[in-house]
Parts: sequence; C-alpha cells; structure tokens
Amino acid sequence: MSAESDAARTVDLRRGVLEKNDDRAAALRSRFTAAGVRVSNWVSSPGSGKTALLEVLLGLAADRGVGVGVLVGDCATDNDARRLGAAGAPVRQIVTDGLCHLEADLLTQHVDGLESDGTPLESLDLLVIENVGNLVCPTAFDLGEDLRVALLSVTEGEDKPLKYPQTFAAADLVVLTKVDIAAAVDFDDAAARSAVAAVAPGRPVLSTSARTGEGVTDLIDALLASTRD
Amino acid sequence: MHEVSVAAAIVSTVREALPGRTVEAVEVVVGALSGVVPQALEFAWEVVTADTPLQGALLVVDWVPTTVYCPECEATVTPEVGFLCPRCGGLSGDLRTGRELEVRSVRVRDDQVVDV
Repeated sequence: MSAESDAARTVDLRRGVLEKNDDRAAALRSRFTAAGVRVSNWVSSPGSGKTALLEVLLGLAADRGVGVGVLVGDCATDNDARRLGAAGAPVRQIVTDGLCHLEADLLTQHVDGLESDGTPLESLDLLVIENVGNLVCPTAFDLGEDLRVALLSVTEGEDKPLKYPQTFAAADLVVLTKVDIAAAVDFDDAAARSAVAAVAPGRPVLSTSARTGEGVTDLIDALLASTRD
Repeated sequence: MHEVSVAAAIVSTVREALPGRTVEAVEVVVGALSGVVPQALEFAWEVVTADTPLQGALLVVDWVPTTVYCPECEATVTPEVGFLCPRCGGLSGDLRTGRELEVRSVRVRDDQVVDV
C-alpha cells in the first residue's frame, strides 16, 4: 500500500514488551536443559531468609552428593556470595548496581562467568538464582528457570500473597521460611496457605526452617524434580 | 521501579519496528498481574524518552484487570481478592486476562515514507 504523505496513521504492533528478555531466557532454558541442570529462580522480599536457607541447603546437598551452584543478585555488596561461598559451593555474586531485579541478559553474562571460572553447567545438578530481594520487580522477567520459587517468612504476615498477587501467581512453588519461630510471632499457617491458594491455586507450599533444617530435604527433592514441560 | 527497564524496552521495540518514523503515541496493554504500575511507567516514560526520537510521544496505557473463568457460575469474572469468584466465592485457577504486557499499536507520521 502507499502511504499518505505527512499523515499520521496507527500501526498495529502487538509485540510483547519483554520479548527480547523472553528470547534470551528461552536461549538460557535450552542451554540449561542441554546441560541437564535444574534451575530455580528464588523471589521474595528482602530479609525473608533466602540466603540462610540456601546456606543450609548447600550443606545438605553436599552430603547427598548433589552439585549446587548459586548466582546471587543484590543491588550492592558481595556479602551474600561470601556467606554462601563459605559452604564450598560455586557461587557468583551479581551486583546489579541498584537495578531492582535480574534480567536474562545479565544472567547470561554470569552463567558464562560461572562456566569460565571452572564450573561448567554440566557439573551441576541444581542452579539456584537468588533474585534481588523485591516482591514486585522480578516478576515479569523470565530467567530461563525451570521453577519459580516465591518465599514468605512467618514474620511477614499471612496475607502477603494477597498483597502481592503477581509474584505468588507466577510462582511454581511457595516456600514458608523461619517456621521455627512461627509460634512466637503468632503465625497462622492455615491462613497463609489459604492466602497462597487464593492467588496461586494448586501450588505446593513447603514449610522450612534454616535453623532446624525442617523441610530443606523436601526442598532439594522439589528442585531436583522440576521441569518446565 | 523496574518500570524504567520496561519503558526502555518499549522504546527499543518501537524504534526497531518503525525506524526513522516520527512517533506521536504508543499504546501499551498492561495487565494487573504484569507487575507494572501504570503511574510509575508513565513517569519512567518521560525520563527514558527524553533526548531520544521518541521525546514528546504520548504513552497510552490500556489497563487490563485480572479475570478468571468461574466454572460454578459459568462466567468470566473479575475477582476482588486473589482468584476468588466475587459471585460464589469459589476459587479458579483458569486465568483469562491479567498477564498482558504488550505494545499494541503506534501512531506514526510518515514524513518521508513512500511505500510501506
């Protein structure tokens, strides 16, 4: 067709805003699948206990001979990588310089970095991506993971899934953390589970404690069993 | 504030699809479960488009609520809380809308284009 010169017209585009991120995530996903590594993307508010839970998970996984690598995202500092590295597992810090979430492009660089530092993906059974502590921003960004994990600590309030439905609706697995202090903070387990069910129907909910180790073996099993198909 | 990243992605999507055109307006569809806050996106849009060919282009946000299909009521409903049907209180995981995040259309002025 010929265009009307100097006239405004509306072009139908219908293109996903995050299509580029999705393309890179798809490339990562094929790479992960080819290497036989199960990848999970952990999302929660700051202070929900992701790192503490991971520390315990790394110890128990090592005892079972399960190889785990970690990519940990934070706005600043490599404190978490140093904490997690102490357990002996391959860990790489992703400093986002203030960016409130991880994107597939940035993750690709760090997966490359992990491999060039001597940890080929093939050598791992599990790769855990600890996203930036933020319950909103990471939601829309696919990282090529097999499993999206949303974590909720017992100190945060049982209705948090209702307040942040996007995040919990996008999760494949919900993990309750710090359950060893549930009684001390009057945590209502049934209310939390029904809040999860209201926004993420049918999703499994796992109770864990980094302090007692409760649920961590189940979590490892759930991560090992995860697939996208 | 990941809306800055989202705004930047909208700019690059539009510029790649329609290089060299004068853009008057960009229409985006934002679902309630997309994690994008329209007001934050509009603010980010101003910042991200400044000093680019899209400076001054209008951002039109079409907000799409979360809707689910309720098998009990045999209807598509808009939940007030989570995915609970506001009519019968039943729970439905059959999401119909809410995850959208899409550049729907772009209003351009074809100053120099003869054939497209």
